[in-house]
Order: sequence, then structure tokens, then C-alpha cells
Amino acid sequence: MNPGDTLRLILSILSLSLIISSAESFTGIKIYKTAGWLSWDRLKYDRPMFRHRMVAPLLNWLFPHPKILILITSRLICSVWLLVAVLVNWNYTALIISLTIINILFSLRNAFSNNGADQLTNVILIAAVVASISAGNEAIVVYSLFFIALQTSIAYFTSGINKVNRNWLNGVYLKDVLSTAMFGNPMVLRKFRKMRHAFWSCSLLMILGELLLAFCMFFPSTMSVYILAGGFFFHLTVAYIMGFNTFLFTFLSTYPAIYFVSAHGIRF
Amino acid sequence: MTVAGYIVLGFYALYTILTIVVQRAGRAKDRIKKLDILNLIPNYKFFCPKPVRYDYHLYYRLVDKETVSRWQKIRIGRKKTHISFLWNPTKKEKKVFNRMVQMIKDNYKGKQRTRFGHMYLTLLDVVRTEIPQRGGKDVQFRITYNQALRDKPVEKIYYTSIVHKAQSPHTA
Repeated sequence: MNPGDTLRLILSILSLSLIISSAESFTGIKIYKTAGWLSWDRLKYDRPMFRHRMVAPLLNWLFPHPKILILITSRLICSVWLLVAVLVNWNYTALIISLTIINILFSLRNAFSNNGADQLTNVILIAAVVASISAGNEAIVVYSLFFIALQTSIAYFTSGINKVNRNWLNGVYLKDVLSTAMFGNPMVLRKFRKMRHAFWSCSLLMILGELLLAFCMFFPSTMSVYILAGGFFFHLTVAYIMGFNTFLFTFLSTYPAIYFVSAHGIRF
Repeated sequence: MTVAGYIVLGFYALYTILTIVVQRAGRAKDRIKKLDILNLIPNYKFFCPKPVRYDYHLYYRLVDKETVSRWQKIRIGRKKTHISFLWNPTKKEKKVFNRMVQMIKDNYKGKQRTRFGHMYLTLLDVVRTEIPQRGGKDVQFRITYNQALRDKPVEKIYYTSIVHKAQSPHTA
């Protein structure tokens, strides 16, 4: 696959994540209301920047409910449009710039509730903007793919290496996490309890898997395919057990970049 | 390589260095995070080094001069379903509540405070909004924790607020 097609594949998967996340924001709109969990009346005091005289008028106009719906609607429309544009091969430069600005604003609004997938989404979008505005310069598209792959590797490496401690390695933390209703699943927990070494072996497998994924782009493409397939299965399992649906699509969207780097390397 | 290529490479190199620095706690991270007003430098410490290991629950009770009601639970979000791997709209409120619990641990737990930060007040607003009919009574909230999927989960008290006046600026 050439760099342009790889970027389009990345954006098509990422747009699915953005569509789902925007649609979820519609159904959970009450959290943005006054006296909701993410009420702007309170959150505007979270950072001095929110009250800066240069930006405060815009944020105070756009961020409270119901005007936040403008942001959510634009995000949804741009995401759907992006999906169509990449599938039918339209020029999406203006669209990706708009979506990136909207997404950064939305992340700012959700600063208190963002997760790793939201952060990685911004990183991918920024790289896509850089690649899009330099249309015709294939080298820059390649750098952008390398950057996306590198950021994903940092994500996996940070997550994996920080789990190298006693309680993760012996499975205590995994058992604790799976014992919560928020992140666990009763059926999985029951099955794990029946197996003697399930917690520590799964915990160890997860850490090794994350570290392997961190270095996946340095493996030959024939091997990286299998590692990425394992990564997909890992994210699918995590999404099913823990409900991290946007992680699944966001991380999956970076896999074409990892595969591309693994297959081609970086050429200056 | 073109000039544009060098600029882009420089930009990506800087972004990558900042990302790597931010993954480690320390003064450099604090400085970068202070400058990163748009929240663009990611922190990838998912569940590390210590994950969230408990379910937290929110309760309220109404208080007046003569009576104190029973603790009533406020449901936060919905239970996960079989399609949560695709559709999980209530994860945000659970995440915010969990962050508030952490904030309470850092700022209020075991301390006598008379002034409250905006996140504490958000929690109080949510509690006040969830109460159907307060009848002018004052309100107190409590956070408990357990591991809900354990065989016999026992809820332990994590934090009990002081009694707050009935009136909320939003519902006044």
C-alpha cells in the first residue's frame, strides 16, 4: 500500500471512533448541562486559560449547554463526511483541518474526562493535517505515518513498562480491576477464578504483548502482521470486558501506520 | 530533502521528545503540561502504575433540625452491556466521578475544609440535582467503595461530606 492509501485507511478507521464517540456525546448530553458532571459553570474555573480574556468569550459562548451541541454536531458531521471522503477518494484537506480544530476544542471541553484514546485521536489528526496540507509531497506523508507509529509505540511502551511491578506481575492488580463492576465482567471473572494461574499468566501476557507491540514497527512486516493481529485481539478483549470501545478503533487506526513503517522503513 | 520536509521532521521530533518526557513524573513534565494549554501532549499511562481497583458509589441524605433521612444511592451511568465494546455512552460520567474521588482523596479526605474547589462543587451540584424533592432540607453526601463483582462485596466508607445548605446556585 502506498503512503496516501495507508493514511486514508487510518482516517477511515479513526472516523468510526469519532462517529461513535460523537453519537455517545449526544445520548449523554445531560452531563454537559448546568449542574451536570461536566458543567461548564464549574469547569471554567479548572484552568486559568479558560478565563483568559482572549479566549474566554469564545469558550463561554461555545462550551455551555445547549451550545455545546453545535460542537458535537459539527464533530459528528465532519467525522461522517471524512469517512465518505476517504472511501470515495475526495480531497479532504479542509475537512481534516476543520475536524482537528473541532476535536481539539472538544478535548478541551472534556479535559476532565479525556482518556488515552481521546489524546491519541488528537495526535493522529494533527499528523493527518500535516500530511494533507503537504499533498504531493510523499515524503511528508511518510514522516506522518512514522510519527503515528512512533506515538503508538510510546503509548504501548509506557503502558507496558509501567506495569512491570510486583502487583501487576503477580496478577493482583488484574484480579482487582476485573473484580470491579466498572471495568470487570462477571463471566470472565468466574472463569478466571476457576483457573489456578489465570490472573498472573494473563497479566504477564498483557505486559509482554504491550512491549512487543511497542517494538512492532521494527520487526519485518511478515512478523508484524501477527503481532498486530494479537494487538487487535487484545483491544477487542479489553473493549468487551472493560467497555473501552473508542480505544479499540483509535488504536486499530494506527495499525496501518505501524505496518507501513514495518514494511518500508523510513526513507529520507 | 525539502525545507518543508525538515520543518515537518523537526516538528515531529519535538512532539515525540515532549511526549516521552511527559510519560515520567517530575518537574519537566509539570512544566510541559503547564505550557500545553490545548492538552495536545498525551499521557499514555493507562492503568499504571496503580489501576483503579474499586467501584465507588455515591449516596446522599437529607438533614434538617429534627430528622436525618436514610442514605439513598445515586446511580452513576449504566451497567455495561454485551454491546459495550461498540457503544458505551455512560463511561464519561463514571470517569469524571472516579477523578473526583481521587481529587477528594488528595484535597478533602481527613481534612477539615470550609472552602471547596470547583470540582467538589460540581459533585455537590450533581447530588443536589439528583434529589427529587428536597423540601428545603440540607444535604450531605457520602462516597463508599467496594469491588462489586466479588462474592460478598462489602461497601466501606471512603468519604462523608459535611452537611451542605439546601440551596444550590443553580436551583435557587
